[in-house]
Amino acid sequence: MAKPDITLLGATYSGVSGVTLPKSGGSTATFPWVEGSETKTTNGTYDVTNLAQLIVNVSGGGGSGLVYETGEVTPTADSADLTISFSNAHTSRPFYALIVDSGSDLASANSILYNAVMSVYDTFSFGVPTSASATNYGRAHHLYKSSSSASTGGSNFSSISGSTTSSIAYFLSSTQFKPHGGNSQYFRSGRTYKWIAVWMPTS
Amino acid sequence: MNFYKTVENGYITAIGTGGRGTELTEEEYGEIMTVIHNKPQRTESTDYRLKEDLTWEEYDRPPEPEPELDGEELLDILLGGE
Repeated sequence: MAKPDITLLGATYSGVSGVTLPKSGGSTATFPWVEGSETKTTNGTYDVTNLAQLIVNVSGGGGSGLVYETGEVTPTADSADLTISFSNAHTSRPFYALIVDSGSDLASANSILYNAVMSVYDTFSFGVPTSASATNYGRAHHLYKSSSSASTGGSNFSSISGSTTSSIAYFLSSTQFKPHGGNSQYFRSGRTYKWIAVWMPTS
Repeated sequence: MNFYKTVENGYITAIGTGGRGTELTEEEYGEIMTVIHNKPQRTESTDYRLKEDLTWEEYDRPPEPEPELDGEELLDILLGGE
């Protein structure tokens, strides 16, 4: 299947260490478009475009008929919450939503370089918890399989965590994506967060 | 590309592209972005919120609540309480 032409996440991220990026050919074949992972243990510049393309490279069916929306949001005040309302009407939740810091407008060296949240099916969450360390921009990607009782099912609510400081949860519906950070300064004033949501074709 | 702002109780809480909210022109979007990037420095006890007339209003910051769950507890939930 051809990969959709998505360039939103084409930014590169500098000074990243300890970050784990999904790649194809790994062990988590349950996910059709995220298979395995690769850990970057040294500082460097990593092109997140490939990450985005991997994520939307859904195997089997659909062709280029994937429906997706992308955008940016810039809060005016530090907050634990962001609300992203999708532009178009959809009949289902997107298969994932992602938020990534632009990386270019960090308020200080202590700022979080980027964070991302992805939802995959009702009973899975895939996340990129964050760290506020001044010297460690590394991100541990975690792939969790939640139990049925903790699925997004009835409440549309899932959680992703890596450490106390990086906890994040989200509310996801067919119309909105609302990430909720672990503290009241999780999303920073003046920082631009990019997002993408992808819906699978219904036929 | 569309530009929008989200407004709650008379305050602009965010601006964005691609999503849904109160429509803005690109020029208006750029103007608000400039204002956001020139936000007054907050203090330990006060912060500022952006009014619709693009002026900043100082307010007292509420104390940071204790987290309801730490990372390990959240992970336990994700793993089904194991």
